[in-house]
Amino acid sequence: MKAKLLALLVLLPGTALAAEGGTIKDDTTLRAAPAGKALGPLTEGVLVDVGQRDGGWYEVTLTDGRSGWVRMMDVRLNEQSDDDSLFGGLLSWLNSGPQRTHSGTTTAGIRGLSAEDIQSSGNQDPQTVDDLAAFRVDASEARSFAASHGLESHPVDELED
Amino acid sequence: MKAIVSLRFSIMLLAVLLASCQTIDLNQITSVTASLGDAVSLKGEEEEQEVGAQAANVLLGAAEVVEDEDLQRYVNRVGHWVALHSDRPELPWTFAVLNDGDINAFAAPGGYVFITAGLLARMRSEAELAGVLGHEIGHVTEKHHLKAIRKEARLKIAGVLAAAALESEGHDSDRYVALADGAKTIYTRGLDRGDEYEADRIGVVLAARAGYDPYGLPAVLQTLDSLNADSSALALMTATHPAPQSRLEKLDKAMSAQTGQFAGGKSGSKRFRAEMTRLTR
Repeated sequence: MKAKLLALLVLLPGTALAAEGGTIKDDTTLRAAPAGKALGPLTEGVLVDVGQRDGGWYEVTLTDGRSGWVRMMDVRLNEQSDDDSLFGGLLSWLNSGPQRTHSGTTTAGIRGLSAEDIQSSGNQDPQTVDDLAAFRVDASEARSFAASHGLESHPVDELED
Repeated sequence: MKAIVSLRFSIMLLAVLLASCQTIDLNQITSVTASLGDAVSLKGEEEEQEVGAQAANVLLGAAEVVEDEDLQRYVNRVGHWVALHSDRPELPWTFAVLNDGDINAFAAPGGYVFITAGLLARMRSEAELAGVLGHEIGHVTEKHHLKAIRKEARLKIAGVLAAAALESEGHDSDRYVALADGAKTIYTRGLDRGDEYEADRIGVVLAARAGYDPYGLPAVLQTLDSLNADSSALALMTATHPAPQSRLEKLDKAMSAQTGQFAGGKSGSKRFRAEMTRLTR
């Protein structure tokens, strides 16, 4: 099983969307940099190629060749099917994994956590839940993980509804 | 005068009798309610852990965990670090990756958080992972599932009206069955939409407090929005959550009010990739 997981994880794109298609969903502004100088307006419905993301900003390229940055929330990523995405290999692996036996209804090659699987979930050995403790880390391990990767705590207010 | 007093006395007596009748009835009702209450709730954190174990058990009966300790510990490190910035840093936070291709994540009371391999595989950075784990952590700290599962379990018990049965020897097992059934209902029907929106807001804030780029959760929601809505990998997620577009619109509105606090933060995309490729060794 591990070998299969690896194979699919190698397929991860890792970087932000390799030029994925997007559509401007609200009138917005093309900028020279994230929150930078305005280059011009972009109207709803304009198609863009979406490159890297920097915080709340996407780098985009227009069909006329112009490029710049736009608020990510003003972009909607175009629909992609699982098949034509970079994840295709991963997904086919996940779909071809070992069959479930607990639900009693194994369907040809398709795996997935459905409502039926949950409804028919049998009573597991309580040990199954206890076994998760082996993965657990304590607060000090979490803190040293963060410190070794330069993650620092910041005061941030709760978001209002 | 005497007649009036006598009448008054009679009325008072009647009132007292009525009141005592009501008291008896109320006592009976209260007693039934109390036994129902005892059956499924309110012994503090210990009870929360018990409900959480039952709920986690239901999920583990439906999907196995990925047998890769490196991956599991990595997710636990990120998750616990994020959880340390929540209102309940002291919970025994336990994260697990489920070996499942569908796109989903689940929380169970007491500090359990599950994420499917299918969702993990569609992420691009540790900030995205932190945002999703932060959303689930929010469900735990706000006790969304705990309240919903208890309510379901009470309804189920009341349905059979097992006040007597509850006091018999079958008490514990009846209670466990009711809690497990309640968990199944909640995981397949979903929480209230308001709970999901609240967990989104908490997820963004916790990721930001933990030093991550807070737009990781919105980025994941955009990915979900871009997937074919009819995809079977999204079936349960779609059935139990508001549409990604509405979640994005709500987050955009909330985050726009305090953009200044959301500048910067680490994406951890290189590390995320490294952690994933490390698995190939």
